[in-house]
Amino acid sequence: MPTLSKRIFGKEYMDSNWDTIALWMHDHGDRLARTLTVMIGDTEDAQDIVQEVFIRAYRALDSYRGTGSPYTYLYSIALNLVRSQWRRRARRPRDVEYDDHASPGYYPGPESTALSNEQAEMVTKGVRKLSPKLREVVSLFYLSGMSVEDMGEVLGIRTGTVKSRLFRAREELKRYITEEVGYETV
Amino acid sequence: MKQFDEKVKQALEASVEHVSFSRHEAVARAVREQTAAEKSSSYRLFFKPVLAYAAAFVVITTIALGGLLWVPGASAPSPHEQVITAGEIPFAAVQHLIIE
Repeated sequence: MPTLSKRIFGKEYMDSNWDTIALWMHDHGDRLARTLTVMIGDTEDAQDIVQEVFIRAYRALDSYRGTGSPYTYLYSIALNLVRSQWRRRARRPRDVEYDDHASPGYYPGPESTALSNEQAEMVTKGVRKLSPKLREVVSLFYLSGMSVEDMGEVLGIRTGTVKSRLFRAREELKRYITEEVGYETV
Repeated sequence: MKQFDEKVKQALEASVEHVSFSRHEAVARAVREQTAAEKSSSYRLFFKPVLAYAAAFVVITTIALGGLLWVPGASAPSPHEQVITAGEIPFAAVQHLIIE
């Protein structure tokens, strides 16, 4: 039976560590890319970071074995990279400003059925207006499918802090939507 | 609150539902390059010094053993052997043979 590497890439690769990473890319790659797209607000940047996450995960795989779930491991690496990017960009203030127009590759999809495109766009705009700390919590909570406990582990904060940040994020989102539209649509 | 969460989740999922991770090959390439670099660096860091030390050990041991076993003049032929190996019969010997 061919290995996962062979099935995905059509040829054999390196070692068992690589097979683990190939499996993780297959299982978690898309969700990670989506979560980071919401967190960062740019699809290409998110792809760059996810790529780097798997390269770093491969390098550090021997030290990872047996500690925590792969999911939290990958998100921890991702969070470090995102925060480094934010720090770099904070030194160049113009780069961190988000305009009101959705960045390329980050827009409400046409298949959005339960909410109108307008409502969905309002929510995504509202999320982009949040501070980085709140955006981290919001994107992990709504997109990663992670528990609050796991979020605390990944973010390096207590569960209670995760909950309070989530509460603040919800309040700010509601306020933004109400102010923008004039009444509560969501 | 649950309804709000549900709607936010739907909105965010819809906004990124077209996104998927597409850089599998780039990760594979980077990992391959890294593995090759690690192999060459392990050769450089481990095997190369070991080979250098082994070569130096052989040279030094050969010189040391050679010095111990060498006896001055041991390989120099005696005058008698010199005569024989030279294939010449000294005149005195010839004369002696003639007299006998």
